[in-house]
Amino acid sequence: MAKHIVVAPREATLCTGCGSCEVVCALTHDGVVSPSYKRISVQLDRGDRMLHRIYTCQQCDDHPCYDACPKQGEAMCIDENGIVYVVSEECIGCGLCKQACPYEPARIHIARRIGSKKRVAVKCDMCRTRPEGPACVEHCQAVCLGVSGEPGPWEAALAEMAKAAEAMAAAQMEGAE
Amino acid sequence: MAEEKWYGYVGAIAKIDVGTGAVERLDTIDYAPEFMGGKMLCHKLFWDDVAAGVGAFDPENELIFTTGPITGTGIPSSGRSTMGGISPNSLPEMYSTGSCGGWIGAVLKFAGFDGFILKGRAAEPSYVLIDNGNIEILPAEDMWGLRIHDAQAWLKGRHGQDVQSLVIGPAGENLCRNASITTSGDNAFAKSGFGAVMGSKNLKGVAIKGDGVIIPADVEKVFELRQTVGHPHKDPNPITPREMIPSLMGFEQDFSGGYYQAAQTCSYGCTFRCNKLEMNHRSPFSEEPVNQVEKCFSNFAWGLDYDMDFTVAAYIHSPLSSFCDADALSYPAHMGEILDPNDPDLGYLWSGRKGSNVNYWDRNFARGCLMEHLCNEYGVDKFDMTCWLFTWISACQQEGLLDDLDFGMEPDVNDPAFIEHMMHILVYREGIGDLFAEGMARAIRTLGKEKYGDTIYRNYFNCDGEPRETPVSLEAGWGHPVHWQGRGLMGCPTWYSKTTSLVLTLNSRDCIGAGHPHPLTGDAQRYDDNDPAHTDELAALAAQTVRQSDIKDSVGSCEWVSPDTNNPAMEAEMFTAATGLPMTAEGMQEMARKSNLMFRAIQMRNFGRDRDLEVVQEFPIQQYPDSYGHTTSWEERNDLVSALYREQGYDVPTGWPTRSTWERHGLGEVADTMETLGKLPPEGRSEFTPGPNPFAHA
Repeated sequence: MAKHIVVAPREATLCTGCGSCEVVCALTHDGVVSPSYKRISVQLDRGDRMLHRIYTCQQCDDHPCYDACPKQGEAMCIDENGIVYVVSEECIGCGLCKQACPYEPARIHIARRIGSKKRVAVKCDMCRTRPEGPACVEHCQAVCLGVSGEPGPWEAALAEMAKAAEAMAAAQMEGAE
Repeated sequence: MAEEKWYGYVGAIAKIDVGTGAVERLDTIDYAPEFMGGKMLCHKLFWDDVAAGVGAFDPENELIFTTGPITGTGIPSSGRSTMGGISPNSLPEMYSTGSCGGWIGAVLKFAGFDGFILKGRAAEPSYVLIDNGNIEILPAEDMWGLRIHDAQAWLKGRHGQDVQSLVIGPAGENLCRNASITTSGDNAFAKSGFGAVMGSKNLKGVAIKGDGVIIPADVEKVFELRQTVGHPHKDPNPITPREMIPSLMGFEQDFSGGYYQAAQTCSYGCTFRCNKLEMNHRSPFSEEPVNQVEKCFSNFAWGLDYDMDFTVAAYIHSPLSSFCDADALSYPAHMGEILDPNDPDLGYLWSGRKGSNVNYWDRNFARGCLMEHLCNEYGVDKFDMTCWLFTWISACQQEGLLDDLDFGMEPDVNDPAFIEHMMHILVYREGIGDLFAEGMARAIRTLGKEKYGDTIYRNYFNCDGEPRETPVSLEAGWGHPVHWQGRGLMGCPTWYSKTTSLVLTLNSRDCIGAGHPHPLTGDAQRYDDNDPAHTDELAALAAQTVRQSDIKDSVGSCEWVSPDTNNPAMEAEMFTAATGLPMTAEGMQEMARKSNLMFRAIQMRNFGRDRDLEVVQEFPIQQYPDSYGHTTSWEERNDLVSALYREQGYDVPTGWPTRSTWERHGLGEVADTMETLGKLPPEGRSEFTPGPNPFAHA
């Protein structure tokens, strides 16, 4: 399976439900904040548990969305790293890719183009042209997002947090003295 | 804003008559950017629409919900929104506003509205559905009676998982004056009692769906702000077992049995996590353990045998993170690097005072969580319950004052069964609960304030074990309990409690909506000597706090981020990043002065506000000793209020702004109105000699 966004185990770090991943995703790709243009979704649990889930494209090896696209190679493409991405200008918004997505909820959605009535498929492309990598991973305040196959950012952050706690305690002691 | 494209704002305000179903679409451009958004926009809409003589439960009262220009843009802390209207929980009833986190502000903008106004009264239980520009009034008989979380779930079941809502619980339906309006994540407009106003309109809630866009003018700047505002997190948030109540001073309180906690973010797209997730506690409404989101005040519900320790650091916008962030024990990982061990102020920042032995109730995580959970589920202001109702019952019980009152069972605040019973009879107005559903201030006056309000609670001791005189009722002013006033609970430096009391003097409710003072460290060190020579400086600090409150609540930022004393232009930068319109720090200050004057205009025209009414608020409790044994005299109180009026440009004997003050801030028409009402005082009166103290404290 190509690299995709993964979520940390809750024992390491818990999603705070802030939705920053959704916000920076739409800002990075389209310069807006909108549920229509986010490629990652936080499903907020606002009932009795308040434990949230994060959904985004898993970049399936068998790419059924790509297979369903009537404009393969134009509207929906696969890059050299196996990332399936949408070329918005070519997409006709038919929705077949969304129907083909094996996940529930589907990891592709169909949105109206900004300033137009035409529709377009929207899905995670791992910020494939962004030198810093996926914006959601970079801006996740709880470092609970990572990239599959790579060390989770939470591991290094946990070590740093322990070190900072010690420095904080030392500063308090010094102040109290 | 460009000609054809809105930046920050989305362009419309919906005015909804829930009685007739009529919807009027107001153009935002007729109000903004002149009236900014949020609180200031609320003031403008209320001033235009609601005449003097309207009461909180009259159909003519309006519930006004507004977003700020930065709401939902991705700027840190920008998930906030504001609600305004006549508060039934203020005493007397008065115009008030509240600020709330959550997703609702952003989603309203996704639906195409910067705000909405609810007026009238529906004939039958109803709710409002705002769906991408379409607005309907729908029947709510199947939802009426549901508690908060069930009502939210009902709306999601009916309209889809993406729907966000503002709902009331049984407390709002039964017109409890301390009823809240709740949105996702247990965020609530609580202190103003707007839940009862919504209930009086036969409205169970407002459900909102939207898939439109919010367009910030400068995306690059938004990303910059996400990295620079406050000290944003970039660290894990593990579920953590705890056995201590946290304290900024390092004197953590033991908590036998322990509990599990993680941090939560209160509003959409924020880079902070000021809320706690309290985990695995019992609910009377569920067989499974539940989790709930709480803020700093939960510590007191868990245990109030001992008041919190405090450090000066908690009261100053310092290199530390916000107080609430610290309370949730979620300091950003790099905080240790931010603190400079060579900072000469560091010792002062960590100085403070141990708490008092207040002996209200034992430490019991399950009982405390239950207390908060019931507030969340019934939709009641938990500050009113925890800080006032239950401390009052405890103190009165210990002083033998409750023998003549029938609670339906033995009052015992340590007993979860009594907490559950008391909350039930209050919310459903059964027996004596009907009295407390009128709010504590009104209930105590009905019972007799001298006995049930002013009797001294004798089981209250300062940190040295000496008795500390405190009344059984922790009332501060405008019908609200103490909050950062150095008495009752939440000890604080004397200069801070004096300033907070001044800030509240100009408001009509409790202080979170009014703002916390944030002096520079060096100034605070000078104020610490409790010398009356600082009167003018404290008045200036209070005036600055009032302005800062109007800035953050109008632009849409948050109390825990604004202000940043290291960057006074922060909110101006936020505004410009969102809207593309130029703004400076001084421009924001000027906006705030005008906003505060509009608030005062409403209070004067509609509610008869003047010096006589204001000076006696927040004062009686200050006659009792604070954490340091300091008290405030009637003369000092009057000096402080006079200094504040001078700072604000008000006539000192009346507390009314003069014509030059109105006109200096572009409000000449308001001056004309005040002249018509006989409320335009002469210029130049800057002194006042008070009469005898009407609350002479034995």
